[in-house]
Amino acid sequence: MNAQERIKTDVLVIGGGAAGVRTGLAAAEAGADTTVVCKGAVSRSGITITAGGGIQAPFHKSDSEELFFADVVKYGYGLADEDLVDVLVRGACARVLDLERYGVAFRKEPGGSRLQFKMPGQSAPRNVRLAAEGVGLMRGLHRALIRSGATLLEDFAVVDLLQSNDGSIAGAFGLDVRRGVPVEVRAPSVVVATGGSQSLWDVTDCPADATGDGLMHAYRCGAELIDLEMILFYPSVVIHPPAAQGSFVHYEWLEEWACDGEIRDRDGVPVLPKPFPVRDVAMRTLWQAIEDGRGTERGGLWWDATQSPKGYQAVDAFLQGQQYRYLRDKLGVDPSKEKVEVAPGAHYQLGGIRIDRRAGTGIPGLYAVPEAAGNVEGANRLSGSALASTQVFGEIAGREAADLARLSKRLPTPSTGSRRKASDRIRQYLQTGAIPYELPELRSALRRIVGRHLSLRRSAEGLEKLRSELAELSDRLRTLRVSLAGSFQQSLVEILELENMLELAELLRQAALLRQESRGHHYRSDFPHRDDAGWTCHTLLSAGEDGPRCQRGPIRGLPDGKETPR
Amino acid sequence: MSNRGRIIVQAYRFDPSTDSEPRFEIYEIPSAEPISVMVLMRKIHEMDPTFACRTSMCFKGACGSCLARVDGKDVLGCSTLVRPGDTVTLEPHPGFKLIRDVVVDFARPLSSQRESRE
Repeated sequence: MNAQERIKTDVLVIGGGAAGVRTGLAAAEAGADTTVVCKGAVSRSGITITAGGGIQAPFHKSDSEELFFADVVKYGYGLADEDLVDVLVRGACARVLDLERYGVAFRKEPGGSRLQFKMPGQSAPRNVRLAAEGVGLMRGLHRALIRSGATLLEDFAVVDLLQSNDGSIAGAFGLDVRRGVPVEVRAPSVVVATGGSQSLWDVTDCPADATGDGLMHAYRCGAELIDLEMILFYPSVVIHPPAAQGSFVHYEWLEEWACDGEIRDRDGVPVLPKPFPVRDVAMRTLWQAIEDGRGTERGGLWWDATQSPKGYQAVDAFLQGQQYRYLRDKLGVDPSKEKVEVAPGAHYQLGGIRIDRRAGTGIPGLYAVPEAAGNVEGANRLSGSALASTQVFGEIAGREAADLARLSKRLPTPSTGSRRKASDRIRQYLQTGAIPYELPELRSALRRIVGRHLSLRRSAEGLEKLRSELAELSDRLRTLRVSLAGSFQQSLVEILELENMLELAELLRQAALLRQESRGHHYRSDFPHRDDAGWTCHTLLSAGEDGPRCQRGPIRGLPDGKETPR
Repeated sequence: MSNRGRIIVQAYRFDPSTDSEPRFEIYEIPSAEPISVMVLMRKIHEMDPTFACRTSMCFKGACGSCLARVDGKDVLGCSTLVRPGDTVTLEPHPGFKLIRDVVVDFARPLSSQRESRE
């Protein structure tokens, strides 16, 4: 299925969340003809809208860029690339000011200064709070993007990137989902801002479209994927009732200073000691309790604030965020009055596409922005880094991409091979009148096996089983067929997503198998200890001649001439 | 015959590019427990992949990805519960240009019914 339409642009940004829209704004402000594509509807899809609304930025008088730097490096357990952390801490405040300029509202103290929360691991109050959480952030950015003059294409799914004969980026091949029309976008600069891959796990608090597409697009072009094994799990994702699946409740808010409750097992016995251990330790404790048979029938635990010595009034007054009002008022699940059934779930992708300080990937013309880009935080991250990274690296990627486009003498031409490979990705699944009834079962099966073998406890034995299970699902994927007739080609997009998810799961499996130690959110039951001498390094995956190449790579320090902030 | 253990949906079906006029299709969705209309739409799509709906959501009742018309009322699908034994009529939200079935183009509000802002 060859392209039926062609578009030309200076900068193509793939992804319509906080990262993609911020990138598009920067490129448009730098004067580039900019096109942002999103596979769903902007402000109503992607991961940003689920965000609780904290952004780390060292505004507070007791805070500094140096303290921010030290905190991120410390809690990344040695795996953060310090040159990127340096970029993050220096840019965060300016990008929050940009957001205010774009019309995004933050919560204020009575005196008018920004309200700042001190979250676990922060040396000073550092999280500014979005007034309307992730949805408010997206609405402000979305309106600014429309004002900027950038072109926005919603319901546009990229199938694969296109390269010139010399290997540089030439654009992307995609699908106008609404009309079912294949489109070739030619651009000298492409920015991947597609977010994470948390939809691979059966328990997650991210939406269904977090399928890691951009990672596979970049990988197939030759970019390196870094620390894929580092997926951040959140301790308390709601698993029941079905209407509330995917919501989460803050485990931190069961601490004494907040609601003073407990995470309890099926018999009502508290699972976590107080004060709560740090996040990754807390999660392994919960996971172990479930593995030991202390979990509920559905494999969860009870998040319980009902027996708080503070009383119902105090607990209810504390639980007033959007998600608590939603659970209580809309779904009839009142966390102040009843126990909530929870389990650890995939929350954030710490690894991703390897980038440098300019958001470059090493492939000429290809840039990436967190959450799709990795190696900023390491083996764990602090609250408020995710949104801060989208803004800091988005602004850089947009500017760099615009600069490169300006220097490009003429529009690059995709090679014949690159065009054919991209269009074959669709063509292999097309058949007139076909309906892919088996797709939901394949996707559920994939999420189950990834949940079983790539969650908080991993082992060589489990990862070996996973290899054959993934291969079997890949064979079944190849039998799916879909018809490209009519509007809104949802099933074709879902097949392409599933293909990306299956290929990414295999790469993730290899990264998890390579790292023979336990650190942060990666826990190997057969290598249960942290091994600084052997494993203070990245895992790197890249496409080789005979399949994936999986190897170690060094942690980057600060660039020459820069002092380590203290 | 008892409806317990399932939800019966009359779902609006219309693809403006191929159909001459809209129709309703009946789906029986097994469910032992109350589910949101958002989950209901996803389950219909999983049973019949030709039924189009948006599946991304914020889990907070805030983003509006799931706007729909249920039994004649315009609602947020994620915030509206349906129960085993219920029979409901599911239509697209009338405030936006229709793309297919219950999928609409949020960038194109229809002039008579503008979406309220936040």
